[in-house]
Amino acid sequence: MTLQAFGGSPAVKSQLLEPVRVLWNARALAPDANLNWKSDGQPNSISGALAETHDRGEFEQRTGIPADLAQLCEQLIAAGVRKSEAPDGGFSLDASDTVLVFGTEWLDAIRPGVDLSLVVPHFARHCLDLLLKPNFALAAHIGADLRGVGFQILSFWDRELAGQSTTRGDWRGVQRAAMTATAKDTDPWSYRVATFIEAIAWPVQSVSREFAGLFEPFLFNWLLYLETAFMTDEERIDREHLLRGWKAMATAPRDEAGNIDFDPLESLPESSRVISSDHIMRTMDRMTAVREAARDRKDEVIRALMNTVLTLVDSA
Amino acid sequence: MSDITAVDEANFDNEVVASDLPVLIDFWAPWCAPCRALLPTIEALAPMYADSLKIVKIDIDENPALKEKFNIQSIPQLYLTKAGEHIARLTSRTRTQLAAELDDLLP
Repeated sequence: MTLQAFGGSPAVKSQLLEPVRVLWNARALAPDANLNWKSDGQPNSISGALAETHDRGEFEQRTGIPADLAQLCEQLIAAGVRKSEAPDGGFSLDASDTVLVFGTEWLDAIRPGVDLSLVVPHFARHCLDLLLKPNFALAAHIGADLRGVGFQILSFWDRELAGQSTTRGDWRGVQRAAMTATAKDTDPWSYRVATFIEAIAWPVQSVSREFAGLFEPFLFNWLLYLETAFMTDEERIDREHLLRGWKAMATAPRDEAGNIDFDPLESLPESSRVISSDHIMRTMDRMTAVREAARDRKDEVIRALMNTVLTLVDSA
Repeated sequence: MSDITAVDEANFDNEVVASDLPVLIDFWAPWCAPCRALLPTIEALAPMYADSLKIVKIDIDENPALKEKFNIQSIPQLYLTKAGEHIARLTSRTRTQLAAELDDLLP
């Protein structure tokens, strides 16, 4: 089914968008990749308010916009926003204007009637290309095997986007190589890069619906890395211990109730130390200062990704 | 939009127990964000295994008897069943790993 943005009608666009603009400018909405709408105790998201639903199918039916694009845009804004509880029981958003403006900027950029179904696939291709570049922030942490898998995926995606086909057998080989590269990888900074590459080892148009969920931890890791430029050597080492601890927690086998029946940090005393509430409390003020110092650099990355979305929407 | 059949207590026997194919059940609930995040992954798997596997979803809030039958204590949970009986719990959460798990489990 081909989607037509706003059903091809400028009047529908205005009817849906203008109430959202009022709410967003009043900061009465909070970006959320789940497209929150009237969900228990949570503020409504921009896209949830646009279509008055958090259901992907209903969202697409009412707006003519792919839900994966809406989720991606919500996620990019959320990555640059700190949401905190306000004294009146509501919430407040702390972010730069360059991030906040995107809340309605991407919707304003959509021409009624345009088919946006290839925006996220092309955005995914852009991101994979970016992470494989030698000047990517985390390039030094991406091993040769993982990089090789990334280039194979990129080459298959380029064939697909050029209208050529790839077979299940082609992809099976890449998927096996991706799982092997991920399993072998030990660099604390590359775990989320590796799991991202492993998860996207499929035809790009089929990845589109999953993309926002797969991209979020990768982007979080990327932005976290940018903070290390403002850290002392000791803080950088502690952050690596933190990442090793998170990986151990994330990969530990869980029972059916979601419990882990051993301590995954038992063999990682330094990770255990930096994950302890005592350490977190003791370093909280300093980490807040680091986050604040890195803010402009992180906003630049987020804004560049937003600009890529706008370019793709414009050229759709 | 979804290729995944919603199963409830009324059609469980027809859709799951009587199925000639093994059935992968996605136990979920609408309020569960990780469940909603997993759904596109499950939907992407469905056409790949159309000849060898049936994939369904069960809302545990609407179907407490099925929640109890399978002793569901947390969601999302993915159970592979044959003739309505649980034969494996899938623990992967990415499509690549789930496909590898399924390839090992399915005949």
